[in-house]
Amino acid sequence: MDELKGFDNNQYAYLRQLSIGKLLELLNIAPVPASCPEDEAYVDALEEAIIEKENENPTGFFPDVDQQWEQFVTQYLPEIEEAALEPEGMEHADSAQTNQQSLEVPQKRVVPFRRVWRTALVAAAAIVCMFAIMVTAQATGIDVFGAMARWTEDVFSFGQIPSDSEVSDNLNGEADRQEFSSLQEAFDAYGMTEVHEPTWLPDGYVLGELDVTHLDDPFLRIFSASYTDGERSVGISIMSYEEEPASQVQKISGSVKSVEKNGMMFYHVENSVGRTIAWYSDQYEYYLSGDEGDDILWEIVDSMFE
Amino acid sequence: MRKKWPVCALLMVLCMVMLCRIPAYAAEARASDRIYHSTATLSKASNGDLSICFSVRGTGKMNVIGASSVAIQRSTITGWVTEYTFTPSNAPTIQAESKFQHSAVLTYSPLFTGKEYRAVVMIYVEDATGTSTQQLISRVA
Repeated sequence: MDELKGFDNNQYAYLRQLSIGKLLELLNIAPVPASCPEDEAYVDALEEAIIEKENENPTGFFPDVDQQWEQFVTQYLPEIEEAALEPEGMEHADSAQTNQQSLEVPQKRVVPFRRVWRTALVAAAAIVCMFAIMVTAQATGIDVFGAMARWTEDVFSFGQIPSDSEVSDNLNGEADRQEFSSLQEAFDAYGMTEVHEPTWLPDGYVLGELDVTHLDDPFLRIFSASYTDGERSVGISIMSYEEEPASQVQKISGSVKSVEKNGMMFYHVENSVGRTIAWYSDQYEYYLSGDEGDDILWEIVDSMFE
Repeated sequence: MRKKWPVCALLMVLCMVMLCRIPAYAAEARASDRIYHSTATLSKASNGDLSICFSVRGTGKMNVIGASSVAIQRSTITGWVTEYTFTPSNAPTIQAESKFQHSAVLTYSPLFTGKEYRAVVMIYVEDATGTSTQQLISRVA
């Protein structure tokens, strides 16, 4: 067969030099159906030459497939709306056999445009409604768009906030504790590698208090450090948690700002006195609190990851 | 049917406005002048004992910081029943003086095995200007 094709190409190469008009004339008088392999090769070469010419310079000789299919549907299948059949036009135009197969396939349900529009409108309304609910939930303290953070008017937490959790102002154990000289020393002793002791603190700040609580059964780690210059203070609290963080951070009314850094989400919680930057990992929750400005607290946080 | 659409749309917009207005008239701000954050956890050890841990950080050096009470509660068919209460008198470690922060771990052997327990911790912070309290309820274990 390959040999025959090679033969055809060489023998009928001259067809490619002819104009499309001439080729169409030759096609009209071509021996179709071909009675011998030579005739078949000739017709094939002729068709290929026509296709090639038409592809190079389209003259409209080849009918538009979609248009033809629409005409076919209009003429022979008037009950079928063109919108429902349009995607199938290409398949139907390939051959008569394909047409027959396609027609046997269960036809798509024709949906009136009005119903489509109505459905789209309802879907859009539902999406808007859902978005409104999500925004409302976010505003009321459930961090829908973020992670597991949530807050009420006066408390921020990465975990559940019981409904009867409350704070009120102006009302007029036995864990193993070890002494450490620095937070880093405690980190090293208990394998804390997620962060290290801040490498930067404001001028004059020194370690004021350091409490480390640890249990192995159940697993529990609490690192609490306070740094002070005598007047102001900055505190770092790191606590392990099971299932979900349990701490509650006091806050003033309003939303909690969140910032993503190095693939982690940090939350900035403003209190009536000072502020807290909170974040968590798979095992620990972290809180850096102080009455220093935002910039200073962020700089301290950054220095814990450097 | 076509005439009902404006009514539906109006109702939907009304609902959205009502939902979005919730934060606008929510409760007044209730931050704390003495507490940055606090936590209370309850975990069960392999021998069945309960480990209750709490931690609190003050906004400055506090005269007294810690918890005024830690109640161990058991779940019953009628609700939560307090089985034992730690106070500074029977557990001095739950409070500290003149500190920025305090944390404590208490161990308790429950009277019943196979029952659910929780801890209710009353955080207590006191400075020269007054006191702050916060009730924390641990998760159930």
